[in-house]
Amino acid sequence: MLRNLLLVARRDYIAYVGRRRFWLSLLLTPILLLAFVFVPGVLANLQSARTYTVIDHSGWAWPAVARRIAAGDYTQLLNLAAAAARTGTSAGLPQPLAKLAPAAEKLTAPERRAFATVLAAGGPAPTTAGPAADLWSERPAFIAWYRALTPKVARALDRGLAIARFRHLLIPGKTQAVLNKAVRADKLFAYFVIGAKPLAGDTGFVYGSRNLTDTALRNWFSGEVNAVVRARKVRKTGLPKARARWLQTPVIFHNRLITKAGAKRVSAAERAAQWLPVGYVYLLFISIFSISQILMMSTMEEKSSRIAEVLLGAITPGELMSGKVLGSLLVGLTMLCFWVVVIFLALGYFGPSLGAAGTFAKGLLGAISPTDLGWFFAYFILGYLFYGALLGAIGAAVSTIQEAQPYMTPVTLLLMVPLILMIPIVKNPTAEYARVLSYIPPLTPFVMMNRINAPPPLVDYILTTLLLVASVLVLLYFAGRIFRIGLLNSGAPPKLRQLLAWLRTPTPPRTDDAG
Amino acid sequence: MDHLVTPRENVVSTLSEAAIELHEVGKYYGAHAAVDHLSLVVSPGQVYGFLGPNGAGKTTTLRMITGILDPTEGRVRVLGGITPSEARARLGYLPEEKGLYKDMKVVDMVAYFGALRGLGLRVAKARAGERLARAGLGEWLSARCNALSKGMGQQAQVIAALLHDPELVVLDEPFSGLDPVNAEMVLELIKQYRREGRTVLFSTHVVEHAEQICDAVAIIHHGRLVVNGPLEEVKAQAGRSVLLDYEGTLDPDTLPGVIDADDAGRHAELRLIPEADTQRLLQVLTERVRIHRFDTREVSLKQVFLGAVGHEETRHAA
Repeated sequence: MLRNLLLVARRDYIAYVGRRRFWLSLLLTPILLLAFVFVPGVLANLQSARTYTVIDHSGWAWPAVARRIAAGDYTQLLNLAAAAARTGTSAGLPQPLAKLAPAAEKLTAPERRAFATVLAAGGPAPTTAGPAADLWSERPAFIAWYRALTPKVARALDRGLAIARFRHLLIPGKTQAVLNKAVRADKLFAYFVIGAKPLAGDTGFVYGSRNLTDTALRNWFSGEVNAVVRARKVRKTGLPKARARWLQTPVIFHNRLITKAGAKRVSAAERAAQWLPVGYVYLLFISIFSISQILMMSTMEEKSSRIAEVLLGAITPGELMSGKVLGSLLVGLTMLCFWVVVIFLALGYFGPSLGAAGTFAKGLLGAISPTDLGWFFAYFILGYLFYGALLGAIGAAVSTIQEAQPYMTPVTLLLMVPLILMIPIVKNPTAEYARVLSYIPPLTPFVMMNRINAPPPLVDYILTTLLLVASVLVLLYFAGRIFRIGLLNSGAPPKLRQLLAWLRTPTPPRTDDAG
Repeated sequence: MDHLVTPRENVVSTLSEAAIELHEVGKYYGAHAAVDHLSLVVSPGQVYGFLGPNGAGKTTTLRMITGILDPTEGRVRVLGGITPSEARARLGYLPEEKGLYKDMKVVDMVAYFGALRGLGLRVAKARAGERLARAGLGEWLSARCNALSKGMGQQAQVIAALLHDPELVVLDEPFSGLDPVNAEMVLELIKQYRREGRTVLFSTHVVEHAEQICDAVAIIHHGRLVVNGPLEEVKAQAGRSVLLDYEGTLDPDTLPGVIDADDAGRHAELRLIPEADTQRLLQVLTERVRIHRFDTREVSLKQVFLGAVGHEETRHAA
């Protein structure tokens, strides 16, 4: 019994794993997964800076906004120079910035921010000798360098710089009609119109662009304008500066992750790790669906090519089905192990050069615990046995993929449910509906892995697993009946009523008298 | 065809009882009886022809003998009284529709089927390579099965099904779809098995093949056994026939002493009643047609078949 089962499993395993196209398709999956993580970042890097211009009917708002934008970038650059001086890497900076590094390092962060504001405003120059005066002496070269910065160089220095993402264009005679034409001709991404009386609730503020879905420029610029207008409003009230700043200081909530060990600070990597269940669910979906299909296709091939009858002459249907189920399971485990290794290797090699995306992905992988991994593989096996029994039975009942389609559709729809629920459950793993869904056997593997951010109670693990195991045993039993009859059934595919009749057909004893 | 099997001189000596024994076997699908109270005994070392028109229940019976199907009622025993599932390693089966794993190497596929029948994987692979080479497929051992021509594929299938040198060989329509060269190969193979004392049961609806090589035949129709016994006895019991080459209009139904006729227009085989007067028959024929040949002989198996099936058809309709 076991020998024949292993022979069938071995053949089916080698038949898939021995093909070059199997390994190619395996490579494609992690590439796609990595692409999901990294491509948005890569595309953002490739994207050219959004160009804009401003029509200012107020006469004062745009110069103030431009100063504020410049002050923001100067602050970031001074901070960058100071950090480089501290680590002794300032030689790697562009020369005008490198020259600022020693003096910038001597200032505190608020001092650098204050100096950047003065720098953007064009004065007043420091009156006493010191780091600020040293910096001031480098002002002409620094500002000329800043204004000549290309987005690409700016991005290489710091992706957060405004000049790296958005570029103000000076357009002569800029009426709205002229700007509309420039936008239509793709010479300008967008323009802003600032109303005549920003302090009086003017409604004449306009954002004009051909692309209203990319809101990055609009959000950034309106934030800058609002800050300037709000500051002027505060000044008009006559409040002292310190009180005005106090009034405008926001409260900030700091994230703390509550675990069994207590509350702890959350790093960017750990925040990323909160998305780990999505990775688990997605991998479960791909692997279970692919290998269940492999089982179905190989069964169908053996039936349609009439190999099944030769096989059934040599071994029992039970041995054949068990061997095929085991063979496909081994293919699935090979697939998962390969993916895990490739993803770890790829991240180890490329991760450091991928910035935030690399940190995100490393955070995901760093959060994988052996217990979760154990459950993942257990759910993979049980989930596969559940769906493999269904698709294996379908493969035995029909001879072509067209005949399989009507039976496949409900199974595919069932497999889509965990994908649809993936994001809602990861955001709210303790929701009552998530708990209820995890008790539905076809969804158990996916929903339970989806809930691991707020680990389900032990009773959930035990009861859902028992329910799932029982369902798998019942399904395998009935799949065996369909397998036994379906493999030898030729001609038209069975109708649902006939399949149900097969399920009711008892298995006669194979070794003794029938009558 | 010596290359397809390994001689086993002791086959006969190990089988003291029936090679196949069916006792009141029935297989029913709802109200339909595919096989109906079929009893049959095949002696060891016999080449047994299992005849019947399409849909007679031949394949169902063979599948029960090989353990692929279980009977609804009755008893199936093989190789001296054991069940088919107990005899798997000693039993070889070649179904009518033979398949290949297209992506598998030829030698691996043949070895795989041998291993499933109980051979060790190494032994199976070595034997597969040797027999494929002897069959002229030596250059194709490492080729994928889908690279084989139809004839080569059929050869590989036969070698695969019989790689374990079974004592009991069951062949379902072994000549179906074969070109003359491969049909001859299977005929030779069956003859070789007979020489080695193995038992061969094969189904066919081409009665000429059965007549050529069978020691005994069984004819089933609508799942029931209608003729069974040694070939010579079956033919002798069926009486004599006349082989006739002629020109003209024969109208066999009105000929004296003729039960039925297989009339091809210019050639006919007339089956006679036991007490038929052949002189009287010749006289009537000369008045009716121009005769080129008039041979009296025992009936052909084809006539036995047509007679049995036609008789049973009439009985079944009634």
